[in-house]
Amino acid sequence: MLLKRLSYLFLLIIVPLSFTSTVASNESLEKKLMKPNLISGTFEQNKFFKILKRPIKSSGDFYLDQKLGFYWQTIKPVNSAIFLKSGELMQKDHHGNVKSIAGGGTLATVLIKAISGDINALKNDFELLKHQANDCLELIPKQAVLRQAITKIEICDGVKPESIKLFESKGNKTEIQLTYHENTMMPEAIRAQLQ
Amino acid sequence: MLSYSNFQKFYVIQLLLILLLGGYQFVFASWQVQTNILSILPNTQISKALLISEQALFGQAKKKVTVALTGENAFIAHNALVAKLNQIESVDIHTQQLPSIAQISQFYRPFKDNFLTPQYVKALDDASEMQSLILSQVTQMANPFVSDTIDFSPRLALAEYLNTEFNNLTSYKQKQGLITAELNGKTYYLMSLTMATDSFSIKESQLVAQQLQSVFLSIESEFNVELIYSGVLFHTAQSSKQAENEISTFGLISLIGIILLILVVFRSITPLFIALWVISLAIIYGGIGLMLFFDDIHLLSFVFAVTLIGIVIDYCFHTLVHTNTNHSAKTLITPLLLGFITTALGYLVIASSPMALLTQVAVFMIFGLLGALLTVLAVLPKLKQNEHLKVQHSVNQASERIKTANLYLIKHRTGILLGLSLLAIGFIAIHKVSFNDDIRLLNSSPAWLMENEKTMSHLSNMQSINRIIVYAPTIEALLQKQEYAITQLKSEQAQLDIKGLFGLLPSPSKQKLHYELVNKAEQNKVFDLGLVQLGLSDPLTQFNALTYKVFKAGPLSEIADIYIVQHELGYALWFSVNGELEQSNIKWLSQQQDILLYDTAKNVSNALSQYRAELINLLLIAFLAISLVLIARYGIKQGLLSTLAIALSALSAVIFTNLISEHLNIFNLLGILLILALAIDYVIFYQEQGIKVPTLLAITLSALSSILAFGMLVFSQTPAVKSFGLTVMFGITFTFLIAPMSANLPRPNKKIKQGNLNDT
Repeated sequence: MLLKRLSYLFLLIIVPLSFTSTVASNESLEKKLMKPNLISGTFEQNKFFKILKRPIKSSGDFYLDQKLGFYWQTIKPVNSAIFLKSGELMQKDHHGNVKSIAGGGTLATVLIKAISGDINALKNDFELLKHQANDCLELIPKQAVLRQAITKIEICDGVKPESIKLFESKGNKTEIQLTYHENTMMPEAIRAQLQ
Repeated sequence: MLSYSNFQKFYVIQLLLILLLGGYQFVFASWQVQTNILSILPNTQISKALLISEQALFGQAKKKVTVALTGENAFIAHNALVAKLNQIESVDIHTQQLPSIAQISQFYRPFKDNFLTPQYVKALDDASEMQSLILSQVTQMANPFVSDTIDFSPRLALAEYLNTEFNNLTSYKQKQGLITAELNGKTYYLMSLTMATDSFSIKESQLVAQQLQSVFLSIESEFNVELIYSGVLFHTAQSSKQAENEISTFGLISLIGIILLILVVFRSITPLFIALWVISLAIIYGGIGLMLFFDDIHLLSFVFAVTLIGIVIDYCFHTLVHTNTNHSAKTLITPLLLGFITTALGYLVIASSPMALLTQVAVFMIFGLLGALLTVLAVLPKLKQNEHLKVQHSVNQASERIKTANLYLIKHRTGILLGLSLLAIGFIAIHKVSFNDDIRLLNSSPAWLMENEKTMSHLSNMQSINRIIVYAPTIEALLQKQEYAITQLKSEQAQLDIKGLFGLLPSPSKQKLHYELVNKAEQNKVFDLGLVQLGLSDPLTQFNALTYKVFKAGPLSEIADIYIVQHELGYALWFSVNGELEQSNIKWLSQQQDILLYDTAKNVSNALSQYRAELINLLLIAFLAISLVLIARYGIKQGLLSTLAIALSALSAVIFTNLISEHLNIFNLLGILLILALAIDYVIFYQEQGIKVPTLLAITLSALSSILAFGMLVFSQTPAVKSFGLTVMFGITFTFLIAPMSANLPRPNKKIKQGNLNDT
């Protein structure tokens, strides 16, 4: 059982999507988080490593369909994707090879709940603090083991979160800018992968 | 020739010595009673090294208890359960401090170029592919291994490796910080406990199990949750309780039945005391035999050994009835001795069985019967013409009627025996006898506990998991053998999901191979594109292998302890394979001397099947030997008649058992073996003494008491015990009915006097 617990905890840490887990203790901010059927858009990511002089830039698309699942596709500099299909988290590499990220389903569910604004589902795992100075929510992982990977998450800007910052171990940081697209359809290729 | 007075002296001296030895052994010897059913099963197919490995790796599993909670209040109930369990001293809940990602990353730092994933190895041939791999790593949003290793291993081979390995370790889910599993739409919170006690210590098991069950019940009712639990502890508690009940119940009923029988026949309590004295001594001798030969005595051995009473009483009845005759003691000594020798030989065959349970039963019986024989031989002349041992007139009359009936049967025996033989052959030819060698024959756990096990197995995904044990004399050979086994299994089934320590601790030779691959790629400038993009360099250091010793001293030592053990013959490890193995892989595993597919149930069922086949041959050989002995001693006609009587008794037992049970099993066959040993006793008495009232009376009393003792076993909850009892009960009944037909026709009758049975 120790092994199982240990391995799961590691798994929990390493799944590269944990940034979205949130808990809202402030009702007004909770309401700001959206709950639509399909959320889609593009993202630009800057990854800051203390050891590197400049950030590593990447960009791509994301789709969150309440029924089908979630798709996070990095297009530049390397084409890859992470998606949730039938409760199972999958990873697609730049060759198109798909593999399951074992046990990641629960965490991905947490991610989807965060993006879709279903705060209640996240209260158990994160503590939420409101920044008075700006329009941001600060999410602190309650579990120490999760804090090893992400010390805190900052979600800012209005009804739809447009900026997400992940503060990682060793002072490294990931900044993601989200741009939402209205009235878009999920591409058939992605839909096919999620079905 | 030993005179009677000398024999009595010998008897008293050996009895004193035996009692002293028994007392010493009882107090000082290292024997213990246990209920682990696996310890009494055949194991000849597995090498000693693998057996020790298996015990070393999974021996601790018997101390584990798994609990699963589900329901609306399951989370709160879980916490309340933890609080209650913390108050129980012998229970340890798993809450070990886990190493941090930073600790793990730093631990692997000196060996950073020794670990490569297959994907990374592929990229070593192509600089642009390597660049893509590195970039995909650094663009991941929150990969803690990248964050923690990029400064000392910017090639990111280590980050990729550790990420993959820890991801692959297991597929458990977590909710609110607790491990969970889904089944039939319900979420179960799982908890693992370790008992700080030996789960096979019967009294402790019963106490702790009772304590835990009471806590579980209170949590269930207080929080209205469903709570299931499993673990060897509960099986031990249940089976020991059941065995204790069976021993006391069956023993008591047998004893009462025998007491009644004695009172009816002799109307005196003197024979009762004599019988109890002989039975008690027989049990003491049997117990000493067990303690002498075995350190672990299984409780089930005692259940089977209840049958000793049934056989020992035979000796008592022959002795008690003989005291009513004018014959010298010598006339009884010969058949008693012959009977003991043949019965003991039968048990000796059973003792050679690879099943510890049967060996124990056989040793107990042989020693017990020896004790009984010596005792009756010592007291026999003293009892002659004892006024308190007179057989009742009514009993004599009844015996006369039995004699008349038997004489009638003997008169028509040709037709009867021929008819019975044809019936038996016809039945066996039409109704094919089938066997069932399932391990569940040995299982006496209640249905609810088995259902819990099944649910827990589903929750922990264990129903599709194969565990493979590897043994080697050195750790380096062990790790290499593991890699060889995995390569072999994957060569047949590439998609096999294999989990174990092999990833976190590859063999030094594999590490060296990976290091050299990195070195070669470095010389070919494969990393340059990726590293330039990061603006970092990663000079190659000297090769330094991560050894087991270093691993054991590191932050992941607890994982090492789960997978690898060191024992007296070397090292052993295990790994798991999820999913069904193809026949080719199963065959390959079965051919390996130091690699074992750990499937106790299957291994035991296979062994039972093999042993059953061997036993059938053994029965045929035993039967042939018995026939030869009988023909040699009693001539062709009487010898063949005796052989036929024994064969028909055994066959009738098989047929009637098969009519009641759907399948036969090895325990029915062992019953047949015992019937051969007992039937030859009956036949010998009929051949030696003929159809005479004393012989008939003694055999009738013996048969009734044996039917009572063995018949009791039919009510056992353990299928193995039940099967054994059923066959032996039928066997004795048919032996009692058929054996007299093998006797010589009697000489003309003499008058019977009350209380004095003559040679009628």
